[in-house]
Order: sequence, then C-alpha cells, then structure tokens
Amino acid sequence: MRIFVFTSGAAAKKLFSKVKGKAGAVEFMAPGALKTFLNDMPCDAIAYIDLSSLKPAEIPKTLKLLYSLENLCWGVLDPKGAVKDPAEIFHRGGADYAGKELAKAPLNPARIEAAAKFRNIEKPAEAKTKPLPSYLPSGRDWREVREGKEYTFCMMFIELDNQAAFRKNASDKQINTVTHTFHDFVQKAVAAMNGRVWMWMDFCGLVLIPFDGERCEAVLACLRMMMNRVIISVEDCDLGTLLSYRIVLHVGNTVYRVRGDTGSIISDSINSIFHLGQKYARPGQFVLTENVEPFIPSGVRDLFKGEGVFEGRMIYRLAFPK
Amino acid sequence: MRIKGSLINTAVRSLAQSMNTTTMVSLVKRLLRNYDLNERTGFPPSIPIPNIDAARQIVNDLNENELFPQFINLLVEISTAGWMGKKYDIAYIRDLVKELVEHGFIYDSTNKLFVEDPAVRRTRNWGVLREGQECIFTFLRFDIVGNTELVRNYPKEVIDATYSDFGDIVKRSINKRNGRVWSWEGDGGLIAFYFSNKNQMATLCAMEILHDLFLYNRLSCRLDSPLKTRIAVHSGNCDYTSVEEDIKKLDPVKKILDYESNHTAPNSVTVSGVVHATLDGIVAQQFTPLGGAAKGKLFSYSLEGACA
Repeated sequence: MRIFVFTSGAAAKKLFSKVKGKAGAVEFMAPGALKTFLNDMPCDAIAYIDLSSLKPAEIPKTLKLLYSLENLCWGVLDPKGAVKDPAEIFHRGGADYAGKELAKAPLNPARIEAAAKFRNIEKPAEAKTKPLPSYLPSGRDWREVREGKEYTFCMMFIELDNQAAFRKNASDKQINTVTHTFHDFVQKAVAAMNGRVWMWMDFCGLVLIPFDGERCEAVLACLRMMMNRVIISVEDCDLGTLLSYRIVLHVGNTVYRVRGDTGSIISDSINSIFHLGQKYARPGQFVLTENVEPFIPSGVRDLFKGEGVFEGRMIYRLAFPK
Repeated sequence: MRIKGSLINTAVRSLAQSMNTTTMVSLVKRLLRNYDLNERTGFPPSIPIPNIDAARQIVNDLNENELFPQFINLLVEISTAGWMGKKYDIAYIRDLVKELVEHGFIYDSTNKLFVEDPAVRRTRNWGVLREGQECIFTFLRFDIVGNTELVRNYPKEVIDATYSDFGDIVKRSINKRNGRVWSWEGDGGLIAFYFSNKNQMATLCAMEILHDLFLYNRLSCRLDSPLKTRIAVHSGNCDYTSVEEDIKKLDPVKKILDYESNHTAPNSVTVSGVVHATLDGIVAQQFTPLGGAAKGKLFSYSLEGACA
C-alpha cells in the first residue's frame, strides 16, 4: 500500500516512522500539492493530510475538498485538535483520524492497514487477485477490448416512451424519422464518454461504455439527459414533440462482439437490463442498479432513492427534490 | 473585419465583369450612402472611369469600411433575385462565397447574411454589425444572488474561483448558441443574441445555465450554500453600439434589468411576453405566467417546477 502524507512539519514524518517494508511505502508531499495530486491519486493508496500544516482559513476548504472525493481513501492528522467533530470525518468519507493524543507517538502500521480496509483499499497484491467480485474491467476506452472476450462494461438502456401513440398516429415514414433521429442523438450523446450504441431496435437501444472499475461517468451524463429533456427535444432532435425516454444503467459482464453480430451472446446482465428497461422502469424514469450505486457522485447521491429489489438487484430511481 | 489576399482580387474581377460603373456606384451606395466614385478615384466627372479601376476602388473602400461580407451578401442577393427589375449574372459568385467561408464566415439563412463563424472567431458584433445599425436583439441578463453577502463572507480567492466557474457555465452555454457577451460585471452580465432563432436560443441558454448551476452546486461548489442566480430574457429593437455606457441606456436593456432585478426569483428564468410568444410550444409550456403587475407580460421557469 502506498501512503501519501501532505505535511510541512517534521512531527508528521515521525508519526510514520514505523511504517516500513511490507507495511507500505510512505511519501511526504507539500500540502499545496494536494488538489493536483487527488486528480490522479492511485486507487490502492491512502492520503493523510496534516491539518497543522495548513493556515486556519485553509482547513475548512481542505476538508470540503476531501468530503467531495469519490472512492478515494484519506485520513486526517490533527495534532492541534482543530477538528471539533472528528466523527464527521468518517461520516463524510474519511478512513482515519489521528487527533491530539494519538499524534504524540508513531502510528502503528496495523492501524493504517485497518483504515485502508475500512474504505475497501487493499494491498496491491490482494487488489490484483480480486479487484471487484467477478468484474473484468474493460478500461477507460476501447483500446484493450477484443472481440470474443468477456469484459465488464457500464451498460445503458434507453427507450423512447409512448410507442403505442407513435405507432397509432404516425406514418411509417414519420416513425422511421423519429427512430433514426433518436438513434443519432443517443449515438452523439454517448460518444463523449466513449460509449457505443451496441444494439438498436426501433425505439430502444443498448449502449456499452468502457468501465475501469473506478468511475462511472454515465451517471452524470444520464442525469443531464433527464434534466435537459426539453432542450434536447428542441435542439438535438427537433421532431416537433416533447420527447419522453427512460434510461437504465447497470454495470455487468458480457462477451464483446461487434454491433450486428450480437445475436448469439448469452449474458445475464444484458437480459437483466432489458427486463429492467422494458418491464420495470416507467416512462420518463432514470433507474440504476446496485452495481452502479457505488459510483454515484456523492453530491447527487440523495437524488437516487432505493426502490426495492428487481431480479435480485437493488434498484435506485432518480427523483428530483420538490 | 478587413479581408486580405486573393478574395479581394476575385471580388474586383467579379464586379468589373458583371456590371458597368453606374450600376456599381448605385450598388455601393446601399452600403455607403454618400459614396463619390470620382472623388475616390481622382477621375474628373468628364472622363469615364475604366470598369476595373472603379471595381478596385469600390472593393477596397468597402473593405476599408469593414463592409466586405455585407457587399458579398448584396452580390448573392442580386445574383439570385436580380436588382431593380434586371437580372445580373455575377461572375465568380461561387468562388467568392467559397473564399468567404474559408475566411471564417458562415451564411445565416434566417437573416440572409454572412456572419463570422463562431468556431473561427467571436467578436461582439458578429463581424458584421455596424455602429448605429438598427437591429432587433434578444438579450439575456443574469445576476448572482446575494453578491454583497458572498463577497463579505468568503475569502477573495474563493469568490473569484466560484464566479469564474459560473462564468465558464455561462460561456459554454452561450457559445453553443452564438451569443455574445456585451457586458460582464463579475456578478452579472448581459448577453446578446442576433442570429437564427434568437429568442429560443437565448431562452434555452438560460434554462441550460440553470440546470448546469444545479449540478455545479451539488458537485463542485466551494461555498457552504448553493450559488444562486436570476436570469431574464427579453427582445427589442435598438441601435448596435459597442460602448458599454451606451448599452445601459438602450431601451430593451433597461427593461431586461427591471425584469431580472424586480420580477425574477432566485434560481429562475423570466422571459418577456414578446419572447414567450415566439417560443416553440414545447419550450413555452415550461413557463408559467407571473401574477401581479407582471401579469401577461412575464413568464417564469424554475428547475424545481420542471423536474418535480
């Protein structure tokens, strides 16, 4: 495990004097480098921030930055007792807190390991053998994806609502225009997150987005698509009607084959997302499965309400505050 | 902007081969009312001016006055619709249009005008409007709510960074829709839209800013409480001016300031009746009429109302 300590004082260095060899590698960095570092922080690392190295005015700002982190492991060194409510550190995603008393003697390596485990960060050797249960991350883009091999993708199901009304009131040519326009919009919208329309059937489609096991940008992209429905209807699709669509997000495994050659694929995840989209989700809803839930950015987490279990998975639905 | 290079030569050849000097002068007077070709060329009225000399002088003068794109508009117009009952076969017209596009202009079919391509450059007059030119603009006015308290309660660097983030949200949205920043005061600003379906573009822009701000507040705002804004959209007739002090005196600008500051609730968009009447039905339905003194004149949109 790599331990990064952001401090400008010698006292903090003594705190980690017992951490050697297998217990982990400690690197000391200047507090000013924290924000930049966090952008590329390794997922198997833990970062400690020495609050006594910061000016009093910088402490709330730094804590706010730490609270906003997704899936990163961090702890706080507080030898001066600047934090009034240490429990809040843990409530808002922190893994460790070393206060006035604890910071007097070097930290026990077992404690740091326990802190990392508390936030599900494991030693690299362990991380390699079991990254995430049964996940085969496909990466951040398509470079490593090979046809015929199984990978974990973020899967997005999207379907236009009101199909019956469309079929009843529109000519074949008009339906064709609607489905083509909607398909082209989806293709353009998902391209920004490396997504590819993988299957398409008239009014609905399945998009594959490479998944690296660390983040799922599709959550925010889909949230925007739901918020901007009016703008999309007028500017992107311009079909003279307010579009209503449902979206389902899921992270799961499938064998990858090129579009058009997917008929023989048997995948629980694909079955599941189609069932969710066509049997569970209602018009205009955005739902996601428990596999995606850990990747919802904390700032919008409260917008997703647990809705119960469907086909063995907990389902969350987007609900804007009234 | 002034045009350089072969496009000028093509325009000179085009003009010289397409009409006589009398027609050229009539044409140029549509853009420069008191134009005197003899005075400009130095030829006395008693001596006929050779076509090529007349054409060169006219093209150069139009270019000096930054009227070249408008001049090409005229040539396109008379090559398709004729002029004063006569048809003109304008030589090299396709080449002129092609070269103008290469110079960073695009054709706005609504206004039948060449305007600067926003992907190439953005100037506050879209590269074609002239000082004092009478136009119908759509304005978007925005203001950050509680600026005084924010400035008092937070360190300068936090406020600067927050307002800069908000500025990025606004600019990203207006740039997509060819809007131009006419004034920016840190906590507020005025955006102008002139081309295409300007009322709708300004309204959608305002809605998108509100949506992006909602996500910004939840994901990356540095303040303890959400940043709030008021946005108003109004359209009106006025003379184009680049002078900031004069902009404030424009009638539609005075009105939009009133709509924004006195009739717009925090985190909402208010559009005037003039704008609302021209919106696509899908967009218009998202707005609810305001009551009181603004009844029938103003319509409001908020994210809470739209997503609830």
